[in-house]
Amino acid sequence: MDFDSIIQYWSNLWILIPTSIMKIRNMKNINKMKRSLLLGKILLVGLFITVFNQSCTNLDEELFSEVTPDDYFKTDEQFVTALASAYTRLGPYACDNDTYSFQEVSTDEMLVPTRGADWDDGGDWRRISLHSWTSEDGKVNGTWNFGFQGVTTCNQLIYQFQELVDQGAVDPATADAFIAELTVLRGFYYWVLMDQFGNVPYQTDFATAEAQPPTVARATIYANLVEELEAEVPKLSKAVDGTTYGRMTYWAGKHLLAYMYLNAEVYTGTPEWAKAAAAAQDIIDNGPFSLESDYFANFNVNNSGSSEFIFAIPFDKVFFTGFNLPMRTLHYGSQDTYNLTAQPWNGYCSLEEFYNSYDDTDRRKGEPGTVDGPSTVRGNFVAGYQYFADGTTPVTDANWEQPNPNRVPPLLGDPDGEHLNLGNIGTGRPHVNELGPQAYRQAGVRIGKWEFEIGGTSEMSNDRAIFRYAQTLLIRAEALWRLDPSSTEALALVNQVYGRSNNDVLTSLDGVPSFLESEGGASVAGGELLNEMGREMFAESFRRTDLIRWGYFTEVDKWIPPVNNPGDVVRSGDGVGYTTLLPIPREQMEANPNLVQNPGY
Amino acid sequence: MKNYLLVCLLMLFATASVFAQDRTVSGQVTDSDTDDPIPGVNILIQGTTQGTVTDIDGNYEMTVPSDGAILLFSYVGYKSQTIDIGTRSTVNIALVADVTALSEIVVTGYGTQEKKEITSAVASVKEKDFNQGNVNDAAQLLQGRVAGLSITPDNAGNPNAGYTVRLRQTSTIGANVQPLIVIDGIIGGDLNNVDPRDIASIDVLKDGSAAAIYGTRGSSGVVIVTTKTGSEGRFDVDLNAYWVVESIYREQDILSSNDWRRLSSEINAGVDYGHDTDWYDEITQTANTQVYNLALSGGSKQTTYRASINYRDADGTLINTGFQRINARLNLNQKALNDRLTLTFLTAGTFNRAEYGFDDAWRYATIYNPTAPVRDETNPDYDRWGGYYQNVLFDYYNPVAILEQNSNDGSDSRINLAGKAAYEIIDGLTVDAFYSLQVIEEVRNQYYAKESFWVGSDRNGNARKQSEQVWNQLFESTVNWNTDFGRTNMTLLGGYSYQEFYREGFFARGGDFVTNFFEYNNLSAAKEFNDGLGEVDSWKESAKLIAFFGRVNFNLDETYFLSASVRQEGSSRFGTGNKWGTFPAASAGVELANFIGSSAVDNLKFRVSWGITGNIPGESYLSLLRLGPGSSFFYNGEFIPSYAPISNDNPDLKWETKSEWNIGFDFSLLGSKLFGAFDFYTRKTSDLLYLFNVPQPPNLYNQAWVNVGELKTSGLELALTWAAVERPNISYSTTITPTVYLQNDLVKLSGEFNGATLEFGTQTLGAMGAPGMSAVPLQRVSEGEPLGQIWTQVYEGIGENGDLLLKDTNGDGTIDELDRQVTGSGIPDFEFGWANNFTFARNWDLSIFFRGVFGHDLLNKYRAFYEVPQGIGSYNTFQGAFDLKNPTTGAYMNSSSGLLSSYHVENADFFSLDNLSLGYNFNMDNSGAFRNIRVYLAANNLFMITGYKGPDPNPRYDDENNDPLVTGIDYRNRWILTRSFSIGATFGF
Repeated sequence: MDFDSIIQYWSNLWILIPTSIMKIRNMKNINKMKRSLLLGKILLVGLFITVFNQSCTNLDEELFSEVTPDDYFKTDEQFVTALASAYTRLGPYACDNDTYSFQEVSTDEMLVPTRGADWDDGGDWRRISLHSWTSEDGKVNGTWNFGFQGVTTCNQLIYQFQELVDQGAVDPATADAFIAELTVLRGFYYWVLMDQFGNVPYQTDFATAEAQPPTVARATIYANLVEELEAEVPKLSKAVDGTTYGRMTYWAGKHLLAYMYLNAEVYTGTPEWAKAAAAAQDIIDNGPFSLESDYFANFNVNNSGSSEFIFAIPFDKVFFTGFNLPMRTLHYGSQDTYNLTAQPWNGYCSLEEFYNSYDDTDRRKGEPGTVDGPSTVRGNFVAGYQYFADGTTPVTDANWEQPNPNRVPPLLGDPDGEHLNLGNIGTGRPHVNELGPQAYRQAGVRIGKWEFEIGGTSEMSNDRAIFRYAQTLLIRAEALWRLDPSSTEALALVNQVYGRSNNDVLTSLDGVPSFLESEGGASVAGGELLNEMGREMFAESFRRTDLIRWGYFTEVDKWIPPVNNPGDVVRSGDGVGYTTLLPIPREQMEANPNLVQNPGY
Repeated sequence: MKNYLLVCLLMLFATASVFAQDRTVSGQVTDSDTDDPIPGVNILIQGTTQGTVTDIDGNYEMTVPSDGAILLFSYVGYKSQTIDIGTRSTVNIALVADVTALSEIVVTGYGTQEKKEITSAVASVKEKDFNQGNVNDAAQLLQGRVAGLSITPDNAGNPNAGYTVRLRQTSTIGANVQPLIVIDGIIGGDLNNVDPRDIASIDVLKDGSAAAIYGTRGSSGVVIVTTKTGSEGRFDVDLNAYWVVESIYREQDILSSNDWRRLSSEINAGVDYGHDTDWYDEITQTANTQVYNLALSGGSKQTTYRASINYRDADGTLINTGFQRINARLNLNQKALNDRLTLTFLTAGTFNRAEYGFDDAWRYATIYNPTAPVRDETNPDYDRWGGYYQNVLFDYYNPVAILEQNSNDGSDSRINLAGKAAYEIIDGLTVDAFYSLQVIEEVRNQYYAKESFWVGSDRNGNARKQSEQVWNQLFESTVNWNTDFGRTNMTLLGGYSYQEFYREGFFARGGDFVTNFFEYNNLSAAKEFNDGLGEVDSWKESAKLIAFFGRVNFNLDETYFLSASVRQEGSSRFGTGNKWGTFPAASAGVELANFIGSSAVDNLKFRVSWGITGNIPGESYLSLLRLGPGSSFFYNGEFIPSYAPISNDNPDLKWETKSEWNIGFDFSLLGSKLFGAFDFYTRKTSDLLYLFNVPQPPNLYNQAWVNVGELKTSGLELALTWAAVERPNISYSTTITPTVYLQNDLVKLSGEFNGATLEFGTQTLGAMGAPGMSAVPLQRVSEGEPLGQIWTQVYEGIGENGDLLLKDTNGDGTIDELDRQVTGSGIPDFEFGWANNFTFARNWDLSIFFRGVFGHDLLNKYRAFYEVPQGIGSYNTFQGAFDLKNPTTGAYMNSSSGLLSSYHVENADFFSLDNLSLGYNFNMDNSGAFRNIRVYLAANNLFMITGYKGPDPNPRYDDENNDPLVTGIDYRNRWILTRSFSIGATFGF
């Protein structure tokens, strides 16, 4: 009911009452008592009508710019848009969330130096690099929320679609396909949670979900996930074309399973190498995928439909944003190199040993800019001297760190002065590695793997592969190597990947893990396989999981640069090793007393 | 509900009685001082309801019983008088003005009462007691004038910023924290739609009992604004004009270029660009303000009116800021049907155009290198920035360029229309109907130029336009019955209220322009719309409130006073089944002076009150699960929108309620030379509305609005006036209004949601922000403890090598975030206003108003970020940076990171001379053209005594995100306080 009816009703009442009163007043042969009684009755009737009149007490809410589920889910298009919400939650996985930070910044691939006051963020980034995170850290909660928002969105949609099937509102065949797809997508979110936190609640039914679900052991979740994926993946489409781009297909499900099998020993204590090799083989034999001849075809601005993409997030700087790597990694001054419309934030860097794990001839490394001019060979890194987009004007940093001998300890300063030199390459005093808290602003080579669009915005249009065929090959290679270290097929598979970007091939999978180079580390079995996984899959969110599987993750002190902040503690270097699982976030422990904290926290 | 109405109506039947009428008596009523006739005096035959009122000449005539009668003469502002007329047929009488404060009329919501009858905590401030000087906002009129009412500027110095009003401190953390504003009966009015010059009085309903008649929105107190009306038999023209000159004072002690060079060379950091720039000078101006008010008022016996027009043209102290405002108001009263029908028509319009400028300019002026030039037209490097000097560094922009290249302005139109019809059916029984419409249209425009390094160059020009319309309608109808039984007076009120709220808006933003010429006036010129990068949005929400209410007041022989009320109110914003709430109140008072019988005690009323009020969440639809379009999804070769839940539903969402006890005295002693009120209150808010972290799984969203928790507050308030000197040639009176905040405890913040038990426990909230401290919390909030705990590490000094030494408070051998502790309180313990009024030589008047707030601390974000010597490599710093060194070795602090520790939690006690005004009233011959002429000088913020180093030591009751749980944080981007001098004149004719 609206205002009009209220007003109409009351105005009637208002005409009724005074006219009645006038009439009563004009009655001659009536005493005062009776007159009052009559007046009272009129008012009484009037007010009672008010109380019982619906419009006068109706408090239903009226919506305009939002919609309740009761008014939605009427057309096919509405279903698809709802399904979409389970996929759009993937967006932050590209680089813009805490899941990514834990997968990359906690490893030898990346760090986020504290540059003066910039990126201090209460020590968040240093704690990730130093493995000294606690359940208090907001980023721990962030990665939890990423996983469970995905899970609960899938659960709710599965429930909603099932309800509609039960009501006969949709064709069961259509709904079942959606439900299978959502189940496998949920499997991906659960895998992230199980991989990072280990022991988390496991719920698959929205309707019967417990209010405060208990922790389920990692091995149980693994078993449930595998069982569910093995059942549901075969129901998914095998088509690889525009209709399935960006969606969970049979192949994406298989790749997820292959990678989960590869890590089974970490998750359950029991390896599943053969299953991993078989799942990867299914994709290799039966899938329509192949390696692109140019590695960077996977990372160009227009990389849609790369023959290597098994599962990708289709980003667009307008329609689907969230891949903001240029902001996160580039120096402020790089704005002029790429004519970006926004000023970057000067954050994520790679580490020296990792940078050097690529041969100089490796096409994935690229060449740094020099005093004479900008880099002419693109690589995974933006390094060395930087120039304007015109290729000649040097980018300068008016606030370059000048030498300060008076300071304790003395500040050496940027050796090459004002000219922006990312990582100070070629100066004889490189500062590729600096964690801070007083890292130079120019310290660190930057993440240049994905092409930065000239004149681009803070958002990239490059699609971001989650699962890529090159990794399928490496998964099979590692599985075979684990079963038989002398497997020639394993070496051949690795060389398919390595050879694409190098003119030579590897002759052995053994070698010194790159982060042990400077310690004079000895060659270890499979060391070169691990290095190649790093080189090829750099910055694609797998390094933490890979290092854990290889047993190196807790040796964080082997790669982090020295720090001079007494509050910064390396908690895993002492061999405790509990940091292979993240702590359950404090916020979650508070909201749900049935959660059990992981050991060590 | 129907029971209350029934009682109300049954009372009607008691009125019947019949009188014998025999002879007439007549006479004139005059003022004992001036001998002027007094129109409108009530004359009543005692013990009956029979009576009359005097006409415009003070004359009356009425019939009385032949065997004589006792007549009661009463008129507002005069002492009532009873006369036994005996057999006289002519009775002239002179009424004596009642100077005691307790005879004031106080507006209590749906009615008025004399102050002596009030049994709850209500403060009434009349025009003569309003703050003087440079006042552009109605809230300023009351600052410091009402005990328990804390009024702090949102951004002191900014002419376009508002005020935060807290009554008796925080009573809620997730609902509406500002008091309910009622303007001439329009509930939920907007103070911005009243010109300060049009206000006759402001009444503040402080306790739960007084506010309960407004039920659901009374928890944070009720402020009732009554505008001026015309009076019968007069025709007045009042003209007021004043001019203000305003400039900044209490600048931050940043380094001048010379100091900068000294520190720079001492620590060998930072680049000297060779110029001497005072950035505060560059971005500020001396602000001029002109204000003109013209009011016409008057009336006949049937009709009274007042029409006014107000014009304000104010500059801000920041360049390119200020506003122009026109406000017009018409109050019209018409009586008809033998004076039984009173029609009231109120209309007001406020039209404001403002240039807001950019608050960020203050921050960049504070931290910009003082050796950098403002412009460098000769250097082609700066062509792309329009010739302004810029330095490519994170979050670092030339503040002059920000203000000169870009624009940020807007306009507001606010219109109130209200009409009321009141009909007195029989003597003492009145029914009325009231309708009001409030329409607010707000337009906000921004343009960032193509060359603007700040925001603009990102988008090659960027324009934004937003408009929002608010459309609120209120309909109310009440029945009011006033009667006497012997020596008892009773007033009964019953009513119904229906209120509807709509808010809808439109927003568009686009960038990439070919020319700056259009600014925000031609958005289709933004190429981003062609590229899909332009943004468009629109929204609309509605809400409803429906209430039934009743109240009864008893006055037993002017000695015992009782009041009880109840409001049954429903809001659309709650879950099905929880929409309605009941808000009862009761209060009682006794006039002890009637028992004491001492001439020294004129009045001494003891009163006790109790009441329950409610509070509603700030937005609609919180109880519902809603879907909305989110980011796009690539489907079959094209991007389509995704639809996802944007909230958790909470069908149990219900009213937040506050129950409050108030015990107080109203007193008037020594022949009304010393009078005032004392109050003690204690309050408990239950079912606090809070946006809680909820477990996920199973919830779709990680937060939900839930009713959890309990908050307890208590305090003492005193308002004391002493008329110290009252001689013909000189008088002095002083009023002090101290408030002591005793308790402010978050008892619990835990509850149930969707079957889950939510425990708040102890949490840290707030965040320092960028650069570098985005995850550093600022405040600790713990169940069972007081609010306002500023939470940092403890500073111990600078080590020999320049290391920052922080205390290992938990003794675990490691200095880390676990060493944080409570290092300050964001909430004050004590505050007061102190007014002093002098008159001398008959024509001169002087008022001096001081204000002080004590016991609160402020975390000075400016210093915490930038008062770091090594920070000079990036940002300018404060004089205090010279002190951040080891006293023995002289080594400066060697970290360039911002420093958040107890070092920058500062005591913010202050005592200030808020305003001073001196006036001269010319002697006017009654027959002359002018009724009165007054000229005055006023000064605001003449001095302030405080140890606080930031721009403004006033308490901060919320943070940048308006979270009331995070207090005492002095965030950046604040303006600098201003000092102003006004000169003005008023003419009455």
